[in-house]
Amino acid sequence: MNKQSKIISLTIVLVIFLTVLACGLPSANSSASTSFDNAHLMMISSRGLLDLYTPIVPEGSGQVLPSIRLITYETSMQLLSTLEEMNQQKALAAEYQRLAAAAERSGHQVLQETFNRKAQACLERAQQLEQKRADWRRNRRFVVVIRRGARAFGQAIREVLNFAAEIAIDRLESRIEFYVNEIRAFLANPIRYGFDLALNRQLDIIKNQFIDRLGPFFGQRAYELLNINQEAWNLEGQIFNKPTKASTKPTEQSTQPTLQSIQPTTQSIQPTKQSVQPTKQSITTTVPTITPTPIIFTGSWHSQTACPDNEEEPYRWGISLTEAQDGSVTGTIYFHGCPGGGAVNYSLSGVHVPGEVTLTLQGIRTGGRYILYASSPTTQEFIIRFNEPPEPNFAP
Amino acid sequence: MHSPASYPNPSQLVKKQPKKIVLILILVIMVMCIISTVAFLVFSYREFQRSPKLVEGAKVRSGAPTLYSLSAEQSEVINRLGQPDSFSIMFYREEFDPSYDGEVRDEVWRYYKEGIAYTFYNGALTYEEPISSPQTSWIVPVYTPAQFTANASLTTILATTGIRDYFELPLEDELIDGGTLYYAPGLTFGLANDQLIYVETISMTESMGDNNE
Repeated sequence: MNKQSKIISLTIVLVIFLTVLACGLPSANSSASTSFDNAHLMMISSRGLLDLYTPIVPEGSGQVLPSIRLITYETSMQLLSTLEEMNQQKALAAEYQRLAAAAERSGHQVLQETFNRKAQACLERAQQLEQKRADWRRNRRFVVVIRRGARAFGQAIREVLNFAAEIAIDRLESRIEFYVNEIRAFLANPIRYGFDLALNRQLDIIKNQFIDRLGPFFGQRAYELLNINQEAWNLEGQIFNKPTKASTKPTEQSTQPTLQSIQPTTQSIQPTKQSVQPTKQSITTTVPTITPTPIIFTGSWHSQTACPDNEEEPYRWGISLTEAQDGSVTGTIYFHGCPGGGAVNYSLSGVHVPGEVTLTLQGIRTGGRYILYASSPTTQEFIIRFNEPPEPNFAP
Repeated sequence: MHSPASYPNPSQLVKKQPKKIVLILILVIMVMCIISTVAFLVFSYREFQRSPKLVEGAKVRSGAPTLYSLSAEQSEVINRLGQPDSFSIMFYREEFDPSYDGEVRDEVWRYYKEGIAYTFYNGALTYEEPISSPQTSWIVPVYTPAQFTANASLTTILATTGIRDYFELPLEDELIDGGTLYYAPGLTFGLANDQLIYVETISMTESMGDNNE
């Protein structure tokens, strides 16, 4: 191997080594923050992006901060990230200084010193970031010089680069707009979001039942032919998108235009209340005429204890059943651990053996929330007696 | 003494060398191209990993959800006032208390109707302070403090809360090493190296539309 090829080989090895070093090794400037700092920085960042945390406002600017505003991303966000970070460090320093003042008032000398040290560290970090920003600006000027050189390289190359850059920026902007709209939709109407989740689950259950009964091929076709999902989503759109004229409180709508998106939800609940109401009436009228045998498990009953703040599950538990002529029984049951304990809903199915006063039904969990939902099984066998609490009773 | 035939012909050497150099140059160019491509792919993948993402319909393995066991004082507050209207929880390692050097669960529970906020330090009630300007109307959150445990991973959080759609925003390493912020409906939480360190409900009032619309 002559001298020339040795040099070339060494160059190749060096290039590979540098590339591996640049790609594979972690960044050396790892942060020295403690877990306490990280948790607080995370909080500050999150609140800052939601505009919930008070950012650094120039004194005397007279700026009034909005109460709640959703995320507004800009394309320049990446360029401003160090500035934001610097502001966060300053905000954190201010927070530590406030804590130090509180510690001083309460006579905690050690805590006061600790917080003051933390504040000082944050200010130093902010200063470092300021320096970093200055470096970045200097580098940027250097990049501009290189760009000028590249421009001189040829008109054609510049046009191609500009074209590619425009496409990239357009795509980035449209993507960011999409993200923002999606987040806004999720955050703006959590009721609709919860409703959509429940609806999805219900549609899945219906589809699975079709597939169970008719097999995978015909079940899927039957589900598609019936167009259940499309109709359901159309209905969902009517409930949430189209405000109907049959509003019970037109004056409220005119005075509170922002309630319009929520108002239809209450309207959507209204029919279910109406549907519950007749069954309640049927109980009050049919209870005195119930004969011991034969029992037909058709009707609705619920617990004595009410949960007044909830319209969907107004009692601790509620059962609604329908018995067909062939003895098959279907229906729903809910448990509501009010106040604040969550809820869980099951869809029920089974067969009523003639003459039997108890009914054993298989329940499949279809929805719920909070702890009761998290702690309940996905499938459960319930023993039902007419007008009596179920067994097991998750919300006695 | 060597015969003249055993010596290499100088003219042949001169002819062979340029070919060798050209071959080596081609080889170098090819290697450089491969390295550039690999570097570009690695860089692109890293940029993708660090870019904000909107995740929809995340699939989570169903398992027994891990719930935090509330302390006696927290249970007493819940029995009296129900689940909080809003809350924020931070998990960190104690560094100020000379007598304790363990993990801390720092919680603030807010009750807007009662206009009061409770601060819990590892489940012990430490502060009880009035909220200066409590909300007059708010949307009840669908999350509870017990759903969040220290150092929970993203998978655990998704399994416990039932969140399937969320927005993922990786933070700069200079800010929090391995830190990622998440926004879900009514909830924001932050993970550092896939360990939960911060969670907070996003309080929503029905009169918020005037800021957006």
